[in-house]
Amino acid sequence: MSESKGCRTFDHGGDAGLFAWGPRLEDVFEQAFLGLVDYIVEGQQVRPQEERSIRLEAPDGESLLVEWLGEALFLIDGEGWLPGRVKVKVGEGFSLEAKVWGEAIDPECHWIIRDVKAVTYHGSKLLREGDAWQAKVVLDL
Amino acid sequence: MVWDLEKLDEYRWQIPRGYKPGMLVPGLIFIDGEELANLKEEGQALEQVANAACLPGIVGFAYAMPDIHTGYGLPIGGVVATKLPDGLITPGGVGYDINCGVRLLATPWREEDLEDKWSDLADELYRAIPSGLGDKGGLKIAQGDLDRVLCQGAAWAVEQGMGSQEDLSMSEEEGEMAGADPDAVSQRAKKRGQGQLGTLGSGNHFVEVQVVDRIYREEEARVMGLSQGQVVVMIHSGSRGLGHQVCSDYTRRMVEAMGRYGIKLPDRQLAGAPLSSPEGKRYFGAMVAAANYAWANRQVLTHRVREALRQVMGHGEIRVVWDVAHNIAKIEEHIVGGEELKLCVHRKGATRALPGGHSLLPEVYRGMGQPVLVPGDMGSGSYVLVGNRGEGFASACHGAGRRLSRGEAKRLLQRDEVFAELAEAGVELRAASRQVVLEEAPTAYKDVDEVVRISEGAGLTRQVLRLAPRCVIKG
Repeated sequence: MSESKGCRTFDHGGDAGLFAWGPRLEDVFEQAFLGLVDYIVEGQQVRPQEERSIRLEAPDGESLLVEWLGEALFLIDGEGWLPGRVKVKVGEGFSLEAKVWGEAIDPECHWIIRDVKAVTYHGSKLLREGDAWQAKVVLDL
Repeated sequence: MVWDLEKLDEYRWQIPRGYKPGMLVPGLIFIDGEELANLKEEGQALEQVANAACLPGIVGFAYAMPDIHTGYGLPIGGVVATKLPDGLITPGGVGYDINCGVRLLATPWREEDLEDKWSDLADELYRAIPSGLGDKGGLKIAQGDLDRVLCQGAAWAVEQGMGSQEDLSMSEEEGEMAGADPDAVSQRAKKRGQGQLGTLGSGNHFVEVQVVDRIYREEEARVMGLSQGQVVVMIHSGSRGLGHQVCSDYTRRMVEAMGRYGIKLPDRQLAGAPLSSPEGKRYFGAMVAAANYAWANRQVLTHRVREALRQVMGHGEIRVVWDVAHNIAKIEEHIVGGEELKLCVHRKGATRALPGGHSLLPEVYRGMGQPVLVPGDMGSGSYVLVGNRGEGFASACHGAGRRLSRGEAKRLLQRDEVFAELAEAGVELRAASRQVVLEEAPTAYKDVDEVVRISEGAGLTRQVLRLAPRCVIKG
């Protein structure tokens, strides 16, 4: 965790997980979201051509995290749309508002490398450790 | 973690009820001493068996099949049954890829008939089978038609001219499970499913052309119409984005509902509700709908495989040998403690394996037991087994089971070496993603021979024949 914010993957059985960190709660939501997209397309260029808004509410922090990342999967697999930039505002209770910039998947220049089936609740964590926030989720591949 | 498992015999190891608070039944793992040592070292898969033993309404044992490995919620290879009407149904006990399963097709051709055509066939199949993520190449179907797919499963595809009645009779549930509730499937799930019918998906899904390379039991092979040197095709795919979304939607609802029903579980991924509750009934209806989508998907893929094979080989009858679901929950009757009970049997990475004489089997297989299709990894072999004694709610293994995580495979293996190894083994590989090839490399998987040997040793299945891959199409 040399960078003040970021996201990395870890092994979980045959599957994989995401671990994100940052000084603000918003950072971990943004980092985990972009980390998930990057795990699927591995560093491909995404142009911020279109803006989308997302609002979510959940019963607790971990559920909000799982649902939020589920939004990324739906945008890619359900809408055929690739997010490239994101701005999150965490609200009262367990809610968030986000703006996502990206573009429709173009088979000529985008290549889906991995199929992430879902973001699971298994071992999901969202907590404050000292000065930093941390988030952890396991993916179903 | 110190695991003090009780050895019942060479292939049965029990996690006692006292291992953790909340366990309602013991865990029972079909495995041998050597594989168990690996599991103990890793620890999480055994913990997941113990967690599953806490599900309200569970009866008998929380079982794990010989290919057990760490999942989330229930381990892969897990089988648990809860008693109706109030036993728990949990989306985490089925998994995200609802009715991920395997279908085996028998062709009239022999290995020598394809001698110089393997490469052409691989190209043709790769062209005909849309693979990878998303809906590129999927059937475009109208919303009303999608609801019919969710109710009718494979029968819908047959109605569209993509197969025959005989195909349906050679499938678990005849490819059309009763109880589907299309209204319980969210618009998001439908949107994901709308354009993906007839696509393979990515990850461990595949279409493989294989050759029967070893027969262990002649009579059972003959009943299935399979002989040495015969060319067959194995299809491994599931319910695609629609099924993943159904599981995500309902896991979220179950997490919320658990508090209302006063249910506490050691892993939220096991969240569920009583089968008789509104949430339980709705999930069951949505899960059946997704299962039917998967059967329709394997039927459309069958049609595409047939077209590709005929393009290269000319006319010939390509028959469905059998089709199994290995991620599903079903209402079944089993005898537990001498009492016949109606149960909700969850199989996650496990195959139903009915013994001979069972009334649910088509006549042709009633004498010998249900075919159990066990795909290996792309470089080695796959197996056809048959159900034997019916233990573990009549279940058996579903595959080789992973040895390395995707991350480890990527770090430890060299892409060129994986391709070279496959080429040396005479396997024609066509893959949408070279990354996936690395993560799905043979070395990443446990030895399927071992899994099948343990399954036979434990009396779950009888080994019938082994299949060697020749063409592999991957997402």
